[in-house]
Amino acid sequence: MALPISRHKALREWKLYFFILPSLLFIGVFSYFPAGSAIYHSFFDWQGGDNKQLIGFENFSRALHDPVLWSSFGTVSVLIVFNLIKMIPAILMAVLIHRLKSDRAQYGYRVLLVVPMIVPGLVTLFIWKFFFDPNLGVLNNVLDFTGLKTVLVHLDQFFGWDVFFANAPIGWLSQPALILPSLFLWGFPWIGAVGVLIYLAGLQSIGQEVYEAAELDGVGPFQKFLYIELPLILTQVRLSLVLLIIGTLKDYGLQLVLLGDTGGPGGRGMVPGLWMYNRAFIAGEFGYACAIGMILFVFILGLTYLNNKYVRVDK
Amino acid sequence: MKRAPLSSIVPYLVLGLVFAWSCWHVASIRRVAVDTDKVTLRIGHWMLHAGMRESFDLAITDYQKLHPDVSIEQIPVPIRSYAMWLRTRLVGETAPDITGLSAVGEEIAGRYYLPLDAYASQPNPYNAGTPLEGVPWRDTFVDGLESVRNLLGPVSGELYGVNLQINTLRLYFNRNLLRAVTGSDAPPVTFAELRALGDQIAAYNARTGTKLVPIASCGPYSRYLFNTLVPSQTQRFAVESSPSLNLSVSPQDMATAFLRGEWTYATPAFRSGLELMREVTSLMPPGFSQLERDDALFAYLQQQAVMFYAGSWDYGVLVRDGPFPTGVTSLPLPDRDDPKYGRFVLGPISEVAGSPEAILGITRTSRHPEVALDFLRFLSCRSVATTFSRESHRISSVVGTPPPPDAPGLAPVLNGEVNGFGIDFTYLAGGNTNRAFQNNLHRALGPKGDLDDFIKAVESTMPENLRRDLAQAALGQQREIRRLDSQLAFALTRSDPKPGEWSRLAEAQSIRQQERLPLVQEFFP
Repeated sequence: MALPISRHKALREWKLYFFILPSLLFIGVFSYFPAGSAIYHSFFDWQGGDNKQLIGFENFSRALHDPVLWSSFGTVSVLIVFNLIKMIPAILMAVLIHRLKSDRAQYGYRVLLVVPMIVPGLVTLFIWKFFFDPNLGVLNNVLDFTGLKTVLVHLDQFFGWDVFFANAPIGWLSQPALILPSLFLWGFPWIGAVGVLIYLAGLQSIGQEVYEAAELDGVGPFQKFLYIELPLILTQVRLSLVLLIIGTLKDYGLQLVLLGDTGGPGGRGMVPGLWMYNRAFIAGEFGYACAIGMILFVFILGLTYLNNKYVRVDK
Repeated sequence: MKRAPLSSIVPYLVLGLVFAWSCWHVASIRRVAVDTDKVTLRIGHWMLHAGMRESFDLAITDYQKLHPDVSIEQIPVPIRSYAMWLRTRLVGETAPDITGLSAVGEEIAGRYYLPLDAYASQPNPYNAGTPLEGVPWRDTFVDGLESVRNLLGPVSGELYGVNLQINTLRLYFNRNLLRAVTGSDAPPVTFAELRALGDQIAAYNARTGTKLVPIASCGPYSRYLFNTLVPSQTQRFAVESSPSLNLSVSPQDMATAFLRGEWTYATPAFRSGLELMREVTSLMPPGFSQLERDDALFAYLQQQAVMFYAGSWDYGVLVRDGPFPTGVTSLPLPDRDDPKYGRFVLGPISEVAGSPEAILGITRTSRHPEVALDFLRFLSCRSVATTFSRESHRISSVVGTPPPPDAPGLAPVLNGEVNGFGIDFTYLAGGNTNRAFQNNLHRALGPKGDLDDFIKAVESTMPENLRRDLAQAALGQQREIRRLDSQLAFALTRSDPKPGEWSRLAEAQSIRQQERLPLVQEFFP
């Protein structure tokens, strides 16, 4: 923790504070001004032009009774659960890399993980869209080739899902019931490079003596993971968790690219961010979209607070 | 002191060199733009389709030959980001002198674009020596620029742009595949023949093991297809029930009629339209609604589909990239003799209304508006229009310009009956009703589609959605009425009064008020 300094000392070289002014200016213009503008406009009936009418809390009261908005929060909650599950492969991958004996091999795997990060996110999304293509996509071809589609059709007939048909390709993004499973499948095998690198950094800070002591006690590989590695990277897991919740709540690029601005058939893929986008750029209700943004902000703030308060890491 | 090894200096050296090169590059561009004696014009547009950029380049080269003191730069911007690009450029006052008008309403057009009405009544000097010599510029366009006026200045009646082209929707077909399936490359002419072709393709697939799809399609293009088919079922309704007796039913008219209980989706004509949609879906690839335009185009060019229903703007890429001959025909619609759908049909539909494409306007921030106007006239003269038509394989909006030599079928069909209307509320303000329609469409069109299920689901939320959309429409009208107040005041007090301006604006405002009042009184008292 930084030591407190006296006022005299802090102001002795006051000219140096001017060096941070450009950064403050940019942060103000590009981060705080848009946010402030959104707060301001959320109290207006505003369609993006010059004209706007002050309507007080009307946008917020409308949002409270907006069934699409609240069902989109339901969808995003499911996606958060999906993403929690998707954290596991990244943790396992980090542990596996960490346990490699050869530094060279560790370095090689780290590079292999980082290289795909060069591909722009949008390109990855388009690749996944093609992956789900019912007629040419990889997924349906793999299911056809391996015969798994027949299994799915039999399961469908048994459970009465009405989504897998023997004589038609699977419409992963055109059947409402398959949209959430598709969003779950997205990113398979769910080894996010950033997550792995964060966990790896945590793992590498574990002292060698801890492992040596564990080996003397005859601890096996799984117990090592459970009692040493996992508890000692919980700080990183918590950081990941915060980023994941914030990211999932505010993100809508995936849904927009895969499903369009209406959230796909049945609106099953609608998330709050996408609804905000839809209201702003499709319906032209910019004031209402700002109000949705504010509600989203409150949710993110609340969840982050709860996470920081209750997800504790005891070392 | 120990000297740093040479290798540690290399990154700094590279960084310095790159920075120096960037500075030089920026400075050299500035020098061309600023130091030259030439007038520099910029033209920004979204038309990246095959042949369009090349056509603009040819026109620019020809114009620069005529005017050596003018330099023109073309700025093509992908359509996905065009609306955002244009909006930020306009607001930031850095928009090119001429820009394409896309996703621009009257408020934006009026604020950022120069009105062209005064020039539209003067002849286009570049038409000298052609049959259009001496003809007012406005009348050199097939529709007298009415569609652009209605699109960009419906309230004020101002003209903020000119459209170089007209769009039509056409059924393209792969001649080779069609011949392989049917033994002839003649396309289907009637809806019954289109249905039969679907069966023939299925039989061909069973015989040869291929997986040909009759019509390549995708989410957005399926809506074009539905909105061409369904109006055949609402033709009679449009004529008999037009509230303004102008043979058309606007989405707002439809909404108010629904709320008054005058129709539902179970009304025979509307239900028939939905059935037609469902029937034609069987000709499209499964899961079409999740596909995009590029997917459908790819499927057609890869010869996985026999036909492709798309816009005239796509023909250029089909002839450029397709390794097979492509034919063009109109989509066969049910005729009056059709046993299932004929009872609602008046007859073949006229495309005279057309839809304007390549609308260009002059921004108010242009430093050389007179040169921009001159170039706009040049772009819309007969000879340049002919070049555009030939190079881009599109339909020109200039009177007498021949259609692309290889695709006369792209030209609009001018004879026929009045068109009906779509039933999905695409153009109703707010978009809530359209979203509910699109979100429930899978109930009607899916593998186990059920029209009753669709109707029940859509209509359960329709009154609420329609009221919300109508409220949005009424609010928009109120804004337009208010905006006209300031224009009226300006027209009264300006030092150089324009003849008829005040009365035109007052009339527009009065019409808007007459449209709005009954809506507000009935639904939002």
